[in-house]
Amino acid sequence: MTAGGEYETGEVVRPFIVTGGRTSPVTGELRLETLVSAPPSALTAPLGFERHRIVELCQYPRSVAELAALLPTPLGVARVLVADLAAERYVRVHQDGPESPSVALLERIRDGLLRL
Amino acid sequence: MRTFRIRTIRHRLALLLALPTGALVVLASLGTAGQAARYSEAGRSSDRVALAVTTESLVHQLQLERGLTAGLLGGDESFRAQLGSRRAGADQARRTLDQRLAAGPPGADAVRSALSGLARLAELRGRADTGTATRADALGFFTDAITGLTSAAFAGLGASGDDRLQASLTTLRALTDATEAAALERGTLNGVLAAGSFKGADYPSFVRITAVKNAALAQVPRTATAARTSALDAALRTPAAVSVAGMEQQALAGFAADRLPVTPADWWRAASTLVDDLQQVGAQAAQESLDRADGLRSAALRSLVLDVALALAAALGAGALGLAATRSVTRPLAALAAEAGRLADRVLPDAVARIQGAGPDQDLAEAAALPAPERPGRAAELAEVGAALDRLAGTAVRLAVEQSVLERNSTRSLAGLGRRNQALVTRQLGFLSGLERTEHDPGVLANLFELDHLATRMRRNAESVLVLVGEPSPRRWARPVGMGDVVRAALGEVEDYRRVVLRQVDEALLDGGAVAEVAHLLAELIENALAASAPDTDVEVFARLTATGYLVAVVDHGTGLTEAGLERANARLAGRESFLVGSSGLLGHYVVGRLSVRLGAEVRLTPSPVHGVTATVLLPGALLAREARPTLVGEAR
Repeated sequence: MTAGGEYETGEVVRPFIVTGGRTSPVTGELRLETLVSAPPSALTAPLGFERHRIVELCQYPRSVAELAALLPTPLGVARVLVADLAAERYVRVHQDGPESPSVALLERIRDGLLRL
Repeated sequence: MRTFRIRTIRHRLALLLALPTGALVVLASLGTAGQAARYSEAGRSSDRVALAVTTESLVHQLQLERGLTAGLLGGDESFRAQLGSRRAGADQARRTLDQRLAAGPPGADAVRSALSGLARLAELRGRADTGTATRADALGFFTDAITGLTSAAFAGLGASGDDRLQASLTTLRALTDATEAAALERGTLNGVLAAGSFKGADYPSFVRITAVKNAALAQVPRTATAARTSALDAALRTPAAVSVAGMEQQALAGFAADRLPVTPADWWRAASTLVDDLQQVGAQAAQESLDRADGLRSAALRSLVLDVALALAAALGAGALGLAATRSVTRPLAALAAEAGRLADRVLPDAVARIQGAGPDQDLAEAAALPAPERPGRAAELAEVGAALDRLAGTAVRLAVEQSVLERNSTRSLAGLGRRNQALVTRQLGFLSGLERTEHDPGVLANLFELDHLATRMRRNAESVLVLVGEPSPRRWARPVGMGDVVRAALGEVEDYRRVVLRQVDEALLDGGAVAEVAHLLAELIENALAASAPDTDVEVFARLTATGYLVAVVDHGTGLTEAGLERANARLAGRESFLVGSSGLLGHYVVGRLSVRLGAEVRLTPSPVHGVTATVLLPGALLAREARPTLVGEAR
């Protein structure tokens, strides 16, 4: 019951809880545009909360920035989560993509950025 | 030295009244005793008079026998026929007297010893019949006996205290003497006439007897009542009396003559009539004395009864008045004591409870109003005590009202401060969220997270103040929130959240309005669990959906609590213990107590299986939103 009858819009869970306070990813090569995908088998893995949500979202390749916008969570938090999942092999990180990103990829990045 | 102290007012008043009452009773008893003595004396006097009258009856009979015997021994055989019935009369009178003596009335001994003079009566009668006794012997015998009896009858009668009785007895004595003298005269002259003339000492003795008779008769009117005097006059004026007087004169005049001019029979008849008449008057005087003695006895009895009744009434009255006086003091005192007790035990606590329980908009003066005391007609001193009691109660209530106002004001100030504080921290957190969202540098983000953590805990503190002053949380969400997120929101509010392990979290949706408060409640319990266990041990959280609601268990592995400690903690957690009695070190428990009451949740501390404490929270099903679906949750940091 807020004084003016207004509802809370902020996060229920503070972001530092999502990673247990960690801000540095276990691997350092994740950039905003790095694509991430997950195999369907990962859907049944014992993953909770945001980690399960990332596996769901990555059934189709997504960029790290996109994931951060969809969760929603700060970029730094999304990076730590994706790096963890990659280390545990629940997702695959596509580091060796084309030298220059395809038009389609650029368009998707633009769309994702617009959604932020 | 030990002193005897009287502790109750009742006993003191009783002591105060005991002295005059005792004195009254003693005086009344003395008066009654005196009256009883007078009654007893009157009784004895009456018995003595009765004895004298009975004795005189015998004397009268003996006088008659003496006259006849003297006549017979004088030589007149005509008396022998009458003598038998006279002797029977004398024996009858003797028996009546013996009966009266058998009762042992006062003076009985004197009469009994006088009666011994009659011991030779039978012998004398025999000698009179055979003519072997002389006339002088017989006269002397009877006269001695009669004189003795009369003296004995009247001995001791002079001591009566009543004038009228005394006069009556004196009259009786004079009449008795006159009658005796008349009878003696009759007997003496009878013998002289029977012998035909005075012989030897007859004449002087006759003259002396006549003188005694006249002296006694002259004595009567001095003490006799008018009725007796006139009766005596009448007896002395009868024809018989007149002829007796005439014959007396003739006998006195005929001293020298050889033959007296009077016949013995004539003399006897007339003299007997006179003696009978005198005897009659004497009997009346005797009756008068008896009546007077009886009257005195009755009066003494009445006085005695009256005195006893008065004494009893006085004692009873004094007792009743004392009792009434004591009651008039002790009863109102008891009523006052009861009233004071009622004030202390019921009225004041009720009023204080009403004042403390009054809502913020309620008028305190109205809640503080005391019922008007009922004190019908009371003594001035007690009314003062009652008024003092009222003032006391009024002061107590005023203090309670002032206290309550103070409490209200401080609660309002605290609520205002808490709300402003909470709003500021919330804005700060919103600002931090914006910074975190776009920060790329992990080092800066780590610092932001530290700031975030501190601000989250500050918000919890601000909200604790609101909970303690009874304000609802201002944070609520429009849509239901998953329980997993609620538990994780609680983790953000504790200091050492890294030691907390979410073992299992059943998915369920919590009503958006209850999210902040449930998270706050769990945060307090988790913070307690962390504080109660070693820094290197985990605190485990299990969250299960049950048939009746949603159950969250917070398990620590600390040293645990004693049974009494658990009991007290549970009372606080259930909101049963007032915030007023506890210490500030347990604020968290009071916050949980308030929140659990508001949410309708059940919070209990129980010992953990091995060691430590498990806090269980059962959230009612009403707080859960529908469309819950259970999901498997692994490690969830």
